[in-house]
Amino acid sequence: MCESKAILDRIANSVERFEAEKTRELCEQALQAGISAYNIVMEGIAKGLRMVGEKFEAGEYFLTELIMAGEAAKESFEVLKPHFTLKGAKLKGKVVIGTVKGDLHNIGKDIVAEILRGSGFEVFDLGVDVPAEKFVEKTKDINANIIGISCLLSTTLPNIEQDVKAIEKAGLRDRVKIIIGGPPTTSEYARKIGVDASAKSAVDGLHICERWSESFRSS
Amino acid sequence: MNHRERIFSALFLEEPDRVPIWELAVNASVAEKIVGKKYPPIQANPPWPETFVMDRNQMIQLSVEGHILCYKKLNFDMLSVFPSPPLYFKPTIPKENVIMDEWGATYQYVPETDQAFVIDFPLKVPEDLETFSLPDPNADGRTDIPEMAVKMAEKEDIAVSCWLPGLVEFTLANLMGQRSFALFLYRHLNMLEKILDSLTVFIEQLGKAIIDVGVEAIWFGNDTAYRNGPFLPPSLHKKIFVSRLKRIVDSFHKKGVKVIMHSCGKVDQLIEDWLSIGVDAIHPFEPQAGMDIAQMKRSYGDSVCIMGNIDVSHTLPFGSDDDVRNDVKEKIRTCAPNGGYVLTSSNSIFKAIPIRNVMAMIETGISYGLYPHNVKW
Repeated sequence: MCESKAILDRIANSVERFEAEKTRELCEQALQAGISAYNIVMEGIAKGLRMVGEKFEAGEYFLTELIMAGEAAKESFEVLKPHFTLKGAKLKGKVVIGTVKGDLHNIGKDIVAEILRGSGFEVFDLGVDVPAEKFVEKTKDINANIIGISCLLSTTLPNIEQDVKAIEKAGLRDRVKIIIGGPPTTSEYARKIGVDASAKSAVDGLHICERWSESFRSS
Repeated sequence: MNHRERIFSALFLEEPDRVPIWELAVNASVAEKIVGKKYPPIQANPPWPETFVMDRNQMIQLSVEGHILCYKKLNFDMLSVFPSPPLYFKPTIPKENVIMDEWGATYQYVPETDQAFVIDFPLKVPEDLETFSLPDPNADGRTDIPEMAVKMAEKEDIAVSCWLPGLVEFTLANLMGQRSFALFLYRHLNMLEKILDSLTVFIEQLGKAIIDVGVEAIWFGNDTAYRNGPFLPPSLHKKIFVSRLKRIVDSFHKKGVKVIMHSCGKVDQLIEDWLSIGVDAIHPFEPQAGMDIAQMKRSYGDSVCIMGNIDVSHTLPFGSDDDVRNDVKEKIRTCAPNGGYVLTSSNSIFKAIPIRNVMAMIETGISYGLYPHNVKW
């Protein structure tokens, strides 16, 4: 048990230092030691990403470091994927994510997707310039818990409202949380258009989704 | 004072007759409404596909004429032009609204926002370097637009500034993309530095050619930060970018022009670096990124001209004209004293900004920005 914890801590530390190769090696070691892929993600990689997130929020880490930590997490999934079974394990929730229609920016959205994935969410990335009907369709399809909408341009901000209306019209609103993020988004705007939350940063978005995930897991 | 004297007075950190007004760009559809007719956009990055179906000389003539008319109508004190696509360049247009530039970056034009975005980058992995080569900075035709602008602006006594690629932004946003930039930075630094060395030479040579045709101010499109802080650790910015940026700025200063650094985002941790390389002005102190322009003026106003901060995220696109007036008055009250301040938006005038708010910004700048500065309101 102690040995398992030591390996998982080392995985967390190597993600925190965005040492991709070392993280992959440690994941292989952990699998050989009999630790499940699920526990490696939840107690190793996700813990490392949380540590990165804390440093990012404290201003000690910068965007490139956040990207590289996400990269280390993503590359280690390749090692874990064949061993990953959901038997007995429950993910934190299903997230449909995309950049609002008319906007082709992907940076913020991609980082959020990686961090959520690395933290134990199942993420379905619809890409950029996503029309409202795509959000609706995918949410129905996979029975998503959360919809994440990214927006960089003030010009395309009103399109988020169209997404919310389409989600309501499809009768999905009461079973899905909606989170928005990007420079023109604010909590005030989120309230105005009936969105559950506006994330100030990728890490803030993760924290919000994690808080929500408690209710998904208990339901 | 004429327009040129007014803006240069501020760039020299002096008090002009009134606060100068400038924008680094006005969106083509907004400009069309202001001028009353459509003209080819002055921006060359990306080169607009529709402009290649016209005769080149005619395109340049119409573009510069329209741009000057627009800036004159808006009472701006300096033009903002872009290098023209070189004569040899024939754009690749894989499909409608998609264009590949001479660097190999592919742009998608989105009619809804009237903006173009890079959707594919030429340098994603180290192997891409095998086939990548930098364009010739001295290729014929690159200075055609700036040269025409200088000639036509002379009659109007309006100064001409020109965009040049910023070392950080161009590498990150045009050549690599965020993810690949991070991968090069942490895993292939030697390669990144070689690219930066070549790009430094490109920018220096293109800049010198632009200055030789009479442009008097250079502005770097150099987004180095986003809403929460710099893209990269400031220590790496200092180590990798500062000496190269300084080399470029020094070479421009030797030719007697002013240098404006533009970066969106929360840039407070980068300002000392920019001051160390000797930039003359910093633009645009994005309020949505928490940039307090009054604080910046107090801290750095003695060493650098301060530009910008009228909010393009909320006030200008969504506020009332009174909201805009109040914002402008507040910025003039806090930043105009002792000169060295230029009124501009916190980015540029884009499609979502109503013309009445653009006019409210300018009219308030003209009425309340008079020197000697008297706080009466």
